[in-house]
Amino acid sequence: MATDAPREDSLEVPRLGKVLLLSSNPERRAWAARTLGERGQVAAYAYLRRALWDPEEDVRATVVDAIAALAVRQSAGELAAVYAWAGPRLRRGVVRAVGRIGGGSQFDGILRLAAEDPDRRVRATALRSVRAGAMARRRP
Amino acid sequence: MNQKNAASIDSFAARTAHGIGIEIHGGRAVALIAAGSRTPCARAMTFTTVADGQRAIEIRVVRCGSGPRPAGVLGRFLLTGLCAGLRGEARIDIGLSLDRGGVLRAWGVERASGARQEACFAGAWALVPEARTGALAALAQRVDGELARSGSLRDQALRRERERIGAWMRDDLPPDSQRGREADCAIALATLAGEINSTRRSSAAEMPQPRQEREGAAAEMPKPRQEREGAAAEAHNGD
Repeated sequence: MATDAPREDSLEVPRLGKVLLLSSNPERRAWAARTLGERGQVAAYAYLRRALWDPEEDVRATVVDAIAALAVRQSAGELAAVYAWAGPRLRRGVVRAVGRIGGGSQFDGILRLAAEDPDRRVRATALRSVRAGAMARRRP
Repeated sequence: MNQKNAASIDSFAARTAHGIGIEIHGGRAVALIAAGSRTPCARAMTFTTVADGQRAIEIRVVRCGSGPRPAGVLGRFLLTGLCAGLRGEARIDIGLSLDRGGVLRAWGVERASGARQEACFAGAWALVPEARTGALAALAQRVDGELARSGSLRDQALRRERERIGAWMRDDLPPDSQRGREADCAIALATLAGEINSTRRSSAAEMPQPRQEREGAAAEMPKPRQEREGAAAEAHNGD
């Protein structure tokens, strides 16, 4: 096993994860989620998935963006659950995230729900996400 | 890792300290993996819908305590694409498995439509404390084995991440910090294992599809409807 990887990067994920889950300040929780997304480590999903149910919608939206930035494929079922309970703005965020992740069969359920969404903007975003997913899958 | 260690990890087994189950309609918990089970263990049960025309169920994986209510929610995910029918008609198999490395996998599949969804969680916390170090070693070995078998770009990124976690696991720490570090490593590795599993499933599902079919996906999307359905779906024990 190589040992030249930067140790600080790995240490940061649980620390930021704990800020995300335990801080009483929503802005700080959103910052932690954003930073986890920027660090590019899938292990951050262990913390992000729990923050998908944060009481603040702004934090939840940032968490969804972070999951999209990390392209976490195992998030399909959980993002679908968030979609089912969310308002139109967050539903659009979830559908956009599916497009950024690149789609895949696990995400078909979200796109089917979004295609029937009462909000026109959510349906339009779903169409764009389907196209983005199809393009991503065509890439070598 | 030498052959002797590999053999001992393959035969590693631990007992669970807590029960794990799912929450059903009405807020009760149904234990699928009982406290005291020996890993690897798995169990599935059949559930059904609680409303006419229900098209989705939310599966909540919970920790079971001594009472009928869940002692905590571990995760929740939505199974969509159910055949719309009368309440109680659908047959939905929901299963949980806990492997030697402490990875908890939950899945749901409806028999009629074949609709399927799954999620992986870190489950080492459910093991008896003295088994957690062995479970972490088993998990590290499994993740290494799976990453060694593939060379996709995604897997290369996951391999780099695995190396970082490996460096982190080898750090010398005072004994009181070591336990927390072990728990963090187990969570990180279980998350990687879930992502590897998901990436494999995604690749397997997409390989046989002809290009024309994918390009037609937008055209196949159903027409918009006035009301969303199944949003507040819940699982219900069919027995």
